Amino acid sequence: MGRRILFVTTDQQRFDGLGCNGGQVARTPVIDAIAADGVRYERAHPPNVVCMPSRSTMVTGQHVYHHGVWMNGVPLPADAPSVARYLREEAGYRTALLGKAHFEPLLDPFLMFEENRIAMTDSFGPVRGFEHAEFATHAARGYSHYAQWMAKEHPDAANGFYPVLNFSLEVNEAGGGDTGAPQVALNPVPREWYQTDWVADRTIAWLESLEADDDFFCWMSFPDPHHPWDPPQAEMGRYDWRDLDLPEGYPVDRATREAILDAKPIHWRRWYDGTLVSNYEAPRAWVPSTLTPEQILEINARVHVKNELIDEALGRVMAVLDARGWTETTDVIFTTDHGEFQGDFGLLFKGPYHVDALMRLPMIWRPAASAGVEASVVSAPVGILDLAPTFCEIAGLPVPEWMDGSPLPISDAAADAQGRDSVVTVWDSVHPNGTAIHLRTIHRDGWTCTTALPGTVHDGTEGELYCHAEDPLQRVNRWDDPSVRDLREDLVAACMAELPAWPASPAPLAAPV
Amino acid sequence: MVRDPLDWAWFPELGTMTMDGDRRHVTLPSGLPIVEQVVNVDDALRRFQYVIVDNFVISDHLSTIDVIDLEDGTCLVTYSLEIKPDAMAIIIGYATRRAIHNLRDLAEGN
Repeated sequence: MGRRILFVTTDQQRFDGLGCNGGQVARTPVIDAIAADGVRYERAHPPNVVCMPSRSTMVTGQHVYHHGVWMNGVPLPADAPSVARYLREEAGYRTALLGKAHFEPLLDPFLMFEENRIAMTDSFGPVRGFEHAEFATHAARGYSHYAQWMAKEHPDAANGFYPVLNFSLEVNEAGGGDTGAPQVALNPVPREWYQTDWVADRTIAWLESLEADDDFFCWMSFPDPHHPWDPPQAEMGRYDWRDLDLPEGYPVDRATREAILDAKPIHWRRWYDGTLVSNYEAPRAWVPSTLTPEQILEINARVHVKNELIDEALGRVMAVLDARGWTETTDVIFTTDHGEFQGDFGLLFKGPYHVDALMRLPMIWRPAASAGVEASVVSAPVGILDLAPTFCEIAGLPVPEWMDGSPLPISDAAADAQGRDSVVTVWDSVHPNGTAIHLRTIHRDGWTCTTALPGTVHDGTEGELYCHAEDPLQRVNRWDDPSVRDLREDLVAACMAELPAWPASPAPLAAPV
Repeated sequence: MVRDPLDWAWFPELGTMTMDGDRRHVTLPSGLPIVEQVVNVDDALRRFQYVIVDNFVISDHLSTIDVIDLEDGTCLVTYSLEIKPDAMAIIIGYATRRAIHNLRDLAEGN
């Protein structure tokens, strides 16, 4: 019997969404307690700031250009390596994925992809090395186990969810709530039927099905707090948006806000003005410059509620671990796939924007007590890329050659010993309208440096350079500052050296998302 | 292999199909129903065309399949698609890419 692994992920959650990371609103005592006993990472970045590439890195341990999922809508090959399969075959771990997978496109009327076929044929796997799988997304409709369960058990309640897509299959721009904010709706669903509690319920059912001495790798994957912002309405009494403060990242003065955007590469301002649609992850018909402070507050109130529901659901799962006597032998790792603007710079959703709102992730690892690891806070840069190697290390397996990362350090001293000093993030998108954007980003020595490669929007001369110590909100772009020109050149060179080559034949897009 | 609308083994993603006059009723594996109308079967041109006439998502559609004799014992098949909304172009385009590869394999006896 070895160390068990509970891998907990959320979707589109900001670093500051948790109390342990300085969040001032949502109460997350369960996660905070896990962090207090474990290792809390201050600078964890994703390989990409949308779901499919980042999640594919989680399961493969590979860089985006190695697993090939270079943007949302590109499926992870069915035969791609999987850390779950590795743990199962090499260490006998029981394996399950409960919640959101999204290694393959969700929009799949032909059921070309296994994730969707499994859900629609009442199957529960095996898939990608997970002997048991039950999938959920952000909606109560579609090709997931959760949607099938809702259709069968609570068909009327499914109608109360916000329709994520409109009739043109674009991300819905329709507004709701008190302020008309996009992707906001009053959802009458009881919390017991909402996807967050469903994911916890299915996780608990699977854990309770195991033998007492089973080792397991259990990936509990919450679809929240991702939009739509429609948590159970009965829970919304926790916060009145009128009582909240605007986020620090929102420049209230329009002229100031727009000056900040104008100092960044041109795609920022063009999206804000509604003259550029570069990616599918935000409503095409929504213009960010129309976003009001009241809408930001209402959305943030809903995100806080979603974050609390996640924390409470995780608490129920932790109680089951405790009841089964597994607390001391279970490693708990908590993170998310990417962040969310939530009003920073006057923006919502995500896209080709490499700032902390989207890149700085919550990441926490509480090693099993048997590992004898002391609680710590790690400021060295780490990433999603390091998760799969960490799972291997926990299981006592060598990190296979096909993984690109290294096991997470348990302290800054351990990070130094690894020679760890940077983390990279990439963005590549080719929209059906022809818009192509390619970004390469490195975070090192407290600086974030992004190069905008030539595409249809950039000519290769633009970029971003931020000093986090002096400018924690990344409002001052120093890309063209002569005093840091040498640093910029060094960071760009280091970024390019660290990245694998862009695939010679990138896989085709199969769906918008 | 192309001109018979009910013998599209090379496009298994289409699911189940029945014909009613010039209308092909397709039920995709997800359960999504599509009604298509065959608008052109031209043996001289080796062209097959159909439109989707009833689907709650697809608002505009024309598919054209041309088989071009290369006069060396081989042929070139082109499958072109016009469709609204744009998102469906990506999805159907990807499925069609797979189908075309299937058609080649079947035609070559692989």
